[in-house]
Amino acid sequence: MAETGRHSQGGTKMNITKKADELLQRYLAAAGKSLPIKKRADITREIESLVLDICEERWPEIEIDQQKMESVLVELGKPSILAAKYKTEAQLIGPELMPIFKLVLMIVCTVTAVVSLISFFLGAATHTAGEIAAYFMELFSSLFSAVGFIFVIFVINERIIPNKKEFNPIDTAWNIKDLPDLKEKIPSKAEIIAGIIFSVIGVIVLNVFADRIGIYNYGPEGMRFFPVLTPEMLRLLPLFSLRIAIGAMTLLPFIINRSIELSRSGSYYYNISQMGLSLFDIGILILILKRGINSVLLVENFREAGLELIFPLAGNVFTGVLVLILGLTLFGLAKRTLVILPKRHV
Amino acid sequence: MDTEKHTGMLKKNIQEMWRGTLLMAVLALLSERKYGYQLLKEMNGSGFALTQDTLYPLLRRIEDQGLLRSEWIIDTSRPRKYYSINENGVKMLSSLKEEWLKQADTLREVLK
Repeated sequence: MAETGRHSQGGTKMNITKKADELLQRYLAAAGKSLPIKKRADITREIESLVLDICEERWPEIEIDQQKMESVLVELGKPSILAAKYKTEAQLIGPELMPIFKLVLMIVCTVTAVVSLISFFLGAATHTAGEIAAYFMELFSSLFSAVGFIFVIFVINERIIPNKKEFNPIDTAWNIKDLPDLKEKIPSKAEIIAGIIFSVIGVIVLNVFADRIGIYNYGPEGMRFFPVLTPEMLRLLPLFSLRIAIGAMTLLPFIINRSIELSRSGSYYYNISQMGLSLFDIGILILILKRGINSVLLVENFREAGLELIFPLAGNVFTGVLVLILGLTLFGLAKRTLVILPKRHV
Repeated sequence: MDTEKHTGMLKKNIQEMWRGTLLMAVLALLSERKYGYQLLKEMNGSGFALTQDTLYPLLRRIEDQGLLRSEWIIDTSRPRKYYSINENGVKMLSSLKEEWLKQADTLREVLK
């Protein structure tokens, strides 16, 4: 009996070690990711109930350790495959092809980026800031096209390959050790400390060196500085400082009392605080989006600093980036809400 | 056709035959409230070679069709989701049974 901690499940006589329970929760979390959002909580709860029923039947009155739990979960199969059986709607890319899709995507994007970088830097000895900016925009466009192309190919494959299980041997073989780690939900102590240190540096930079934020160009006449933030934006900086400070403070309890890290209340607190911060971010982003690029950046200074190539697109890029961040923040908020809402433990 | 291939194909075809009758069997067995694992054991005991990853999603699909009702019961040793047939399910089972008996008669004639 390796583990010391054990707890009973829902009042049953069956004992299950903490490690076995953690393994089960990791399996459920992995399956949950591939389940329809509407029924996720209910289905994962039923899968949990099924696993415990199997354990109870096989090992009555015996403690369920990690090894026993592992054998049951391996029998149930890969979480994403199990989850896929609950889906009634057709998927654009199903669980059988998804690992190959990700693999191909990773290879193509890496090769595209590396080849493009090499050819860019071999093309000329020196590059202006404008050329570098234009290169990155071109690279982004190439990657976007590649991702789109691969996606379409896989969507077609999903419909024309009859027996995808045989087609994809990678997916049928899985290792229980690959299950996502529950601890990943909350940052480690080192990450929290690093986050707080960078937050303090961020607040200092925003408050003390705000007028020094800009483009530094080194030319024949020496270094020239072009400020990029408008006075209106400088007035908004205390709001950013406040955001950074609150963000750092929400993580403090995890340093003071590390034991809450894995507890349900710890996870709940972490998710709620992150949701609050997301709402704050959404407010700031909408405020900036409404005011437009000219209220945030001294656009003329970009031209003077030699960034002419991106100048015609600056407004679009600015709005695009903000909308992208806003979208990601809203997505993160929705995801956390879905994590919080189904916590109906009976 | 060699014996191994024949056995493999036979197994596949038998599975196909059973698959068509699963809905009826589930509806019939759920005239009494049961939880998933209990039903699974009962069905396998009756000769259905079912696995949990087939039965549980099937229960969801039948429930989505409005033929079953389900509820979480928490006063047992552990919370479990129980399923039972509802009025629509009873009507459906009766129609399917009628059709099944007709088909069985037809098939019996054909196989004579």
